[in-house]
Amino acid sequence: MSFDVNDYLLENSKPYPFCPGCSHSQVLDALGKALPMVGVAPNRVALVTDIGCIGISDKHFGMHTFHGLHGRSVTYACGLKLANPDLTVVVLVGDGGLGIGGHHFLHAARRNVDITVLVCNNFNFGMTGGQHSVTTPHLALTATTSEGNFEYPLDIAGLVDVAQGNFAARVMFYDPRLPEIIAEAIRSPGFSALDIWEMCTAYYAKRNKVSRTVLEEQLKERNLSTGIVVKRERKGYVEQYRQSIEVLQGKPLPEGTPLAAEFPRPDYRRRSVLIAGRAGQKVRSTSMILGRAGVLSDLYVTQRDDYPVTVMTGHSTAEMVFQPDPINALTVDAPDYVLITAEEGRDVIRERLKGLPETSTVYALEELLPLDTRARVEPIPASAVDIQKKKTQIVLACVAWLAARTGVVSLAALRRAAQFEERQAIADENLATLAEVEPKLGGL
Amino acid sequence: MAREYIDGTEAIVRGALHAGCDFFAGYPITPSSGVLVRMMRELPKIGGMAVQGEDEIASIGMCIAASMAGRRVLTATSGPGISLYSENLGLAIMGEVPLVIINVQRLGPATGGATTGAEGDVQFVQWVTSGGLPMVVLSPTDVATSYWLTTVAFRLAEKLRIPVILNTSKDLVQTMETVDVAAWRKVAVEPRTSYQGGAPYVPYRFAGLGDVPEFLPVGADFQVRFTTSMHDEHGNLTKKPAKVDRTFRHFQEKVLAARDELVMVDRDLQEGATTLVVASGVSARSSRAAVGRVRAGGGKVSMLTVYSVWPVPEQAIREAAVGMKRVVVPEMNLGLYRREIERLLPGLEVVGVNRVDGEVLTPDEIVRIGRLEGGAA
Repeated sequence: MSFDVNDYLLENSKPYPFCPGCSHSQVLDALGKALPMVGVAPNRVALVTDIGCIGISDKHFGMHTFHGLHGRSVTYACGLKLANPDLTVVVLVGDGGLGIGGHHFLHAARRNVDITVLVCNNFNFGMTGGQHSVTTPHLALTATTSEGNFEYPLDIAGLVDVAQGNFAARVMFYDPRLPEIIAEAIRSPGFSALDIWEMCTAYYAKRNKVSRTVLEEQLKERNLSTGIVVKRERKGYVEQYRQSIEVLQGKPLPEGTPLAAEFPRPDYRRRSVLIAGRAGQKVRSTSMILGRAGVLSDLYVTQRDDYPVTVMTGHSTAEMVFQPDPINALTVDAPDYVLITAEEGRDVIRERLKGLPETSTVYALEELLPLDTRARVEPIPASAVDIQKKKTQIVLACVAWLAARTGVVSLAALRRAAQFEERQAIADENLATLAEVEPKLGGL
Repeated sequence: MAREYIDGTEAIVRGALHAGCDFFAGYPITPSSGVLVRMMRELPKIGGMAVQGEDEIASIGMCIAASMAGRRVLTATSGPGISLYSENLGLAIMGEVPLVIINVQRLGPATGGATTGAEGDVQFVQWVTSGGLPMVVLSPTDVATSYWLTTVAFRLAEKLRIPVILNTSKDLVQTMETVDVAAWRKVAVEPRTSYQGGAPYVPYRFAGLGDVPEFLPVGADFQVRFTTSMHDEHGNLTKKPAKVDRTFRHFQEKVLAARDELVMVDRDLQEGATTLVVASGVSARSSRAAVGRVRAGGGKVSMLTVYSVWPVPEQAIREAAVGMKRVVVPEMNLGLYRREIERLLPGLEVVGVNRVDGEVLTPDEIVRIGRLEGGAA
């Protein structure tokens, strides 16, 4: 099936709403001519616009239209293309929108998302009264550069090039090749952009001399040329995405890990534990083993973790509650048991240690003593938790000590809980650690 | 009973997948990044798509467009990211875009404390965008309600064609707990009411102010117009006062028309009590523990947990306060939701229990500062 310009450009919607002499009209006409050259059906095309004079164009078109926030049209275009890869997505944006949405433009080009961006570049903000934009030529006069623009203009096609987008062209609005170049941009897979040099008669042309000769001189001064200036054959984003996720497709979603009550429930009303160690010591993952052991023992458990933004440095704490029924409070003023496995953990809970009552017990590696607390303190002898292989297993060894001393969970439950790891190697290492320390806990 | 040991992040992801979510875009930010990581891994398995945007603005922009292309869409961020979502959330209201947003609150303002818990966004998420239209916001208290309310958020978003925020916090998404997965509540998410007629499709036509326009995706067999600007029923820009007024009021009325479905509270009222505790989020958990302690000590106290924080379940709060003399409002901010309680219950003594140091409120301090009788430790 073939289409003609009237299938895309609604003749009865004219005249265009632009100022007398504005070149946006030529660009819209050119887009209307380009689409039948591509041959894509109007209902397979989405035209995305945002704020600026060119943004009020969508009512003239018979394709799907999407009108959004200033500068964000590229993000909507990407969303449409990714959600429905069968769509041909074209963006109409001004140099204002290109500036504020530059980040999106850059990354759509880098990702090579299969969209076509037509930048209607008239060197200033028309809609808001002729302020300078990111493409305003050096020394040009605008409402905000009354002494001449001291900034230098951005080259849009060059930006596509450094971002490794597939296609970019620079073209004058009066160039008879414009419809054909737009069509080629749309046909080209991956990201395409056109830098269309335009004429703002209302503002820019009133303050600056603009003519074909002047535009072409500026081109020469900046050492730029018209026509297609970037053309590469990189795969488009949609195809790259499809290939990268192929191995995942159809795989089942994780079901979760049911933990049956395999062990008798310990006989207590509630126990709270605070584990305080160093980031990188595996405090969180080891506490999860302790938590799973609780669930395997028919208990409800909560585990509230705390650590700084960085990893492998600073403190890491886990605050845990164990009880036979669902738990409300994630934190208690005075934990029944505190386990300290590193200096960093000890220091971060210093104030809490001071406030602990005599009824609480603190288990700490002996090297970390003395502690400023009224709670009962039991040192954990280095020999008892001397894990030959790895320092990262020290917390698990200490948790085994805690379990043996307090009965918060049984060692059997801890051993079973240590097996529920995504990676078998980690489960094996955990079990080896427990096997190594358990004989030393025999007398407890 | 099949129990598991998981965190709120996992519950949110499962809730979204069970609600039929098939598109996600987001940007890494602590403490919400877990949702991004999981969605990137899981969605391709079921033919969905997940993208890490170049920033929050791009992420929500992609989500909005994907939703209008017919996808069921989720994004997740934390307070600073919600600030960047602000303008596009207005767009989602204006364009009538179904969209679920997870906000994992952390201590603010600004970058604040990335791994520090807080409930400081409670008012912010309601009036998050320009123009004077509030958001619908739900607030879970634990892993199970994180799952349930994620499905509810999708149901409301799809049904009413609105953005819905699930306002959770660091201490809920990262806390592991025992859950009875089989007992989890969930709601069904119905497909959007779609337009069945022929061309031309009038994208923003609604008969009554409270009706939701029939949906067709961008990419349908005939033209669909979407716009963020004030528009007429055809999706064309308009300044005509009568049309503007009608469209504007419609945004509010369609939400109010669903007001019964928007009330989600848990009433734990005790006969003879003259003190009511009103709380949401992680603070509701500590409050429940405090209430349990008061009752165990022979005291009397009532408790209302608010899940649907915005719009405020005004009637439910007024009803729970019948016969009360005092209301205690514990929260991890300087008293943000307390303002609503004071507004609704003039004449009652309203006491705030507040913490802004990143620590979760303890039952002890709720009893002590809230002066709950019978709750001595």
